[in-house]
Amino acid sequence: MSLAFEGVTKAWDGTNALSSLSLEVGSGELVTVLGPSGSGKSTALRVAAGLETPDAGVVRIGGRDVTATPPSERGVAMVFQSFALFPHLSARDNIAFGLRARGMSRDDAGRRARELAGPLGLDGLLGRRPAQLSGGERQRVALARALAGRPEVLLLDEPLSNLDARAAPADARLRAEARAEIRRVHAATGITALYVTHDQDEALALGERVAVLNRGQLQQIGTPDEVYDRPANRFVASFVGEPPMNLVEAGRLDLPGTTHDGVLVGFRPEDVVVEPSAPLRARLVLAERTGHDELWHLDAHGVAIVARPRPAREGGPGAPREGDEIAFRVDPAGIRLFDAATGRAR
Amino acid sequence: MKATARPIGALLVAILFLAPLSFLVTGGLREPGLLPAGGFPLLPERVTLDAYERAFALVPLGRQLVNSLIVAAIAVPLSVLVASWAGFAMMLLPRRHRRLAVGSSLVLLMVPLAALWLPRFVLFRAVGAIDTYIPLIAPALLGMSPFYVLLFYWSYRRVPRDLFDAGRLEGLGAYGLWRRVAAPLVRPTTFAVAALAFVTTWGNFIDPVLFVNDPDLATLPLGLRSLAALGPTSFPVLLAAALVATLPAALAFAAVQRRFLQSTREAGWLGR
Repeated sequence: MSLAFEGVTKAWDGTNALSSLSLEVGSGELVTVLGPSGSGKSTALRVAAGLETPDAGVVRIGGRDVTATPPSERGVAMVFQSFALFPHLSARDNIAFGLRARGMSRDDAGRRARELAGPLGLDGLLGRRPAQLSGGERQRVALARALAGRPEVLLLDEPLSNLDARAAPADARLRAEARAEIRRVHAATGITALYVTHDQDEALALGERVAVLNRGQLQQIGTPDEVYDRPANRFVASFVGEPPMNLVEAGRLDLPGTTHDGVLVGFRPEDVVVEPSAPLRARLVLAERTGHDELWHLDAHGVAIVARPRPAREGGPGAPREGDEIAFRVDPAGIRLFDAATGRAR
Repeated sequence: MKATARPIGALLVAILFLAPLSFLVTGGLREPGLLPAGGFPLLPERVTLDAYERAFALVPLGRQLVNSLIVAAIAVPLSVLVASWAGFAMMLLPRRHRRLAVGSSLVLLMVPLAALWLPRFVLFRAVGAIDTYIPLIAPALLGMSPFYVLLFYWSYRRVPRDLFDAGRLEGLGAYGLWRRVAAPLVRPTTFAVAALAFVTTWGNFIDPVLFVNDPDLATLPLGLRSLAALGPTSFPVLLAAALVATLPAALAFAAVQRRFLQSTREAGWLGR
C-alpha cells in the first residue's frame, strides 16, 4: 500500500506546521523524513495516522482518499517517540492491546503476541510491565504492538531517540542494533514505512529515500546518495553532513572556471585537497581529531572553511601545525553551485 | 540518629491523632449518667456496655446504620463514576471549551453549600421527593462536588497524550479510552475521590435534616444528633453510638486501602 500526501497543509495557531506537503511513499518502501525540530515532520506523521486532520490537502493510502477516515480504519500503525506503552499492562497485554480492542479473544491475541515476541527477542519478558523493561526492550515491545494488527503502513516517530537519553558507549551499539532490527522487520514484512527522525545518520542509513523537511516545506526527496551528493538547496546543503557542506560566496574565493554571478559555492570537507602545489592558501586555525580522521578549520582570507584533509601524497611535508599556512584546492567533482538569492541549486 | 528519630516522630503524631479516638472508645465504656472524664481519657474504673444498650434502646441505630449504608452504597459509586466521566470528558474538550469548563467548575466550587439549602428544598418539594432518598443521592449525578470532577480532570491531564493516541489508533472511542487507558491509570485518584465521597455521604447531616422527616428513613447522623441533645451526662451513650457509626467506615477503609496500594504497586505507577 502506498502512502501519499497531496498538498497537505496544517496550521497551529496561525503558523503552518505543514505547507502544502506533497510526498509519496511507494508500496513496501521505507522513506525517512529528516528535519530539525519544528520542521513539521511529526505533524506529517500524525496527519498520516489520522490523529490530526489537515486544513487542506488529501492523504491517500493505497490510492484511496483517507483524509476523513478514522485512524483505526486506515490500516496504519504507529511507533511513538515515547513508546506510549500502557504502564498498567504487561508487555504481552501491550502487544495484544489493539487486537483485544478490536475484539480478538484473549487466547488468540496472546498467541499473536508470543508469535511477535520471538523474532524481537522478547521471549520471557512478556509478563513484565514496561517499568521493568530496559529502553531497548520497551522499544521492541512498541514495535511488536505496532505490528500486531498486520498494518499496511507503519509510521515511526523518532523511535530510537529515547534510547540515547543516557549517553553511554553501549547506547550507540543499542541504536545500531535497533536500526538493524527495523530494517530487518521492514524487509521481512514488506510494509510501507515512513520514518521520522532528526538524526541524519539514521535517516541516511535507513531510508531507501530521504525526504528533507524544513519549516513545514519539503526541501528535497531522493536517495541518501542524491541528498548527500546533490543537495537541492542551501538548506539541505547546510543541514545534511557532519560537518555540513562549506558554502562560500563566490567572488571572495578565486576558483578557476567559474564565471557565475551571485552564486554560493558548495563543497564537502572531504573534497578539500591539501597539496603543496595547490593554488589556494589558508591558515590552519584548528585541527580537530574526530575519531578516525581529523577536521581542519581553515581561514582562507577571511572565509571559514572546514576540511577533512585527504592525506598528502608521499614525499610531502609533515603535518602542519595550527597557525601554519597551507596550500589547498577543491576537487572540481565535488563542487556544487547554489543561487545566492534563492538558495536553489544551479 | 535518623533511624530512631523517624519512628519517634511517627509515634508522637500517632498519639496526637489517637487521643480523640481513645476518648471515643473509652468514653462509650463509661457508665451512663457519669460526667465526662477530665484530662487524658483512660479506661473508667467500671467498664460497662450499658451505654451501648441505652443507645440502641433510645434510637433505632441498627435501622439507621442500614439506611446510611444504602445511601452510601448508591451515592458513592455513582459520584465516583460521574466525576470520573466528567473529568475525562473535560480533558477531551478542545482547549477553549476546556478552559471554560474548568473555570466554571472553580466558580461553582466557591458557592457555599448553605446557599443551596433553600433552592434545593423548594426544588425537591416541587417534584415530591421529600421523604425519599432522592435528595440525598441526586448530587451524586453531578459527581457530588465540582472538586471531585476537577481532581479527576487534573489526573487525566497527567497521563501522557501519546497513550490516548495509541488507543485511538486501535479504534477506541471516548468510552474505550476511559475504560482501557484512562481509568486504570488514575486509580489513586479514584480511590481518593471514593474515600472523600464516602466521608461526605456518611457524615451528611444537613441533607437528611432538610429532606427526610420519616423516622424510618433517618440516617446515622440524625440518630447521633438526637443522642447529642440528651446532654453532657449522656455522653457515654452518644460516644457509644458514634463508635457504632465510625466502625463500619473505618473497617471498609482499612480493607480497601490494602487492595488499593497493592494494585498501584503492581502497576509500577507510583514512585517512578
